[in-house]
Amino acid sequence: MFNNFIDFPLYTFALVFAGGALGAVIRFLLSLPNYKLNSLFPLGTLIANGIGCFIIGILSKSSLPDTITTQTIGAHALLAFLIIGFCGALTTFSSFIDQVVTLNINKYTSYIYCFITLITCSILFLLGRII
Amino acid sequence: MSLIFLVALGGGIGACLRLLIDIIAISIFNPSLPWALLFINLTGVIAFTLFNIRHNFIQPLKDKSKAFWQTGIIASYTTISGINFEVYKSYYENNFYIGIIYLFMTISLGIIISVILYRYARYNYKNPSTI
Repeated sequence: MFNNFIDFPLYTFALVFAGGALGAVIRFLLSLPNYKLNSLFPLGTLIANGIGCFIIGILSKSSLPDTITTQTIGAHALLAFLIIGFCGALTTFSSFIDQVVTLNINKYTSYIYCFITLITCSILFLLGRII
Repeated sequence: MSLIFLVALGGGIGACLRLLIDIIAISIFNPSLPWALLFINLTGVIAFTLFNIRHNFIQPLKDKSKAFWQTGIIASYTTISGINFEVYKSYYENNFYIGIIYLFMTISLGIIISVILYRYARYNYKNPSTI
């Protein structure tokens, strides 16, 4: 995923751990209203995926191959925390697929949810790139 | 509170696991193709679905187990933002069609694997689920 990080120091794992923990908790908190309201449509996951893609869109400006060097290891660490840790854990593919497969409100809900997620994530990612 | 702690702990572990597999895969496979992310997302889908099958068909999981394993580790292990990043990277490297194929291949394979596992479970465990 990020070839540039192959030479990173071990403390990057600690940063990724911290970012992952934070991202997972925010995703969990965003999904809580769904459970409390007993809502079938997984709005929390959709919002979490959207926010994650938006943030990674902003951050990707500084992590594409030609803009990162081994001299900017400090920036690598911050990007590791934010991109691999936080955004990676905030967004989730496994929950998304499970919701697509098991969403059973009506015949077309799964397709609509899948389509909305893809479009939302792509638009927010591009919006993040533009900002 | 303990659920949030378990989600955080699982989220950190999941993110580190994703990074570790990424590094190993980069050293083995062609780093120009995001095979690691594909592997990560598909194995995550398998694990997530198996946990759900266990929960729905065999023995309900406790909230703490679900929070730690599913919401924490597995959901943080897989990522959608990374897929968006790879698609954009392919566009940046003038391989946009490969990025689009990669996106649809990941989602299609994820859905197919999940559906097969649920069908297998429904057939074998005779649960009156609508999945």
